[in-house]
Amino acid sequence: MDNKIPVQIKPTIKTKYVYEKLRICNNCHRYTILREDNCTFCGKPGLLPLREKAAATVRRTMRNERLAAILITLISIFFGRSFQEMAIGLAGGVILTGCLWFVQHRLLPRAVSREIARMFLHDRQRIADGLIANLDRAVETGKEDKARSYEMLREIAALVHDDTIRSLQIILLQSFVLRKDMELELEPLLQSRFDPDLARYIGELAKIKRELIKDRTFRYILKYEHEIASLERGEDILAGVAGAAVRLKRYVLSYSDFISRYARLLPKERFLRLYRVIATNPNEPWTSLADEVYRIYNEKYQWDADFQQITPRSISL
Amino acid sequence: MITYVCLAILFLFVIAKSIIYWRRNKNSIAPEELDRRLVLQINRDSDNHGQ
Repeated sequence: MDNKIPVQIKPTIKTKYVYEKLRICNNCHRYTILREDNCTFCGKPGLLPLREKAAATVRRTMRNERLAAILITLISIFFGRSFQEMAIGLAGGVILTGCLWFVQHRLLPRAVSREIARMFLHDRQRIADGLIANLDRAVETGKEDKARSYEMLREIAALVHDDTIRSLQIILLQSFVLRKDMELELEPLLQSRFDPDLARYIGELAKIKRELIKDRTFRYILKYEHEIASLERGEDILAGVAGAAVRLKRYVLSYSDFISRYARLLPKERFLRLYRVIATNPNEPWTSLADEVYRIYNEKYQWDADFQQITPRSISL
Repeated sequence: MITYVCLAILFLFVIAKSIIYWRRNKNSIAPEELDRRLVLQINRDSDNHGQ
């Protein structure tokens, strides 16, 4: 198992929007994206989601405005020279304060969104400092608890799109025994540069979770095919990815040239699937893939019972 | 007299606040836009730090 460790990785905490992962400490006003009970900086509890903090700020402002309206109402009542004037002051104040409350109540959600946008601008340096501190903490944690370190990096990577962080995640993943039941990801880990560890990780996913290999991954593999082929067991990786592509006819069509280069290395089960796709869709533009598939079929599987069950369709004119 | 002045001030205050809130409401920011701005800001900042 190459010194790989078995781990349990907690599932990602999913939020509808990425900014909902950010939290701010009510005491020191520092930001964090990690799921912790206490603030990393001051150690105190009191981490609030961004929306909650923004809502509290907006509500406080609105409350102050209502208090100002009430104060003006009280002054108008206090200085009333007659009971009638006092009554008018009270009625007018109540009606106007009520109108103010109504407007505030209707526009509160949008005011909160504006406050969040303002916080992004006003606290941009604090947010960046918080994320850097989170990253340092994640790296430090990796010395003792790799699984927890990976979880932390995964949270940070949801907001910080950086190849270095992706590389760190890949290095950690490669130190784990990967299992089918683990919540693994691939597309968020794709990088703009060639990473041998990423290629090896894709090779492993092709065996246990090939459904994660989609268009972006295929394009990455195609882009760095030469570099991957030069790795130790690089051709196995490429053959694995080709095997993952045969699961959908759309992929076979889109990446037919790539698949044809590694069709010979496919295990029987994957080749059988590929053969079935080709044989039952003769009118599709398979280019050289069909020739290669039939060549391999004639060499290796001509007398195989599993292949005899597939009836090739004729080309319709 | 002061009562009516206070009521006038209160009236103008409420009108001004309502106009401010209404104008802000016209330029409201959707959550998707908030997300986009934050991701853009953070990754632009991290690019600058990396240079």
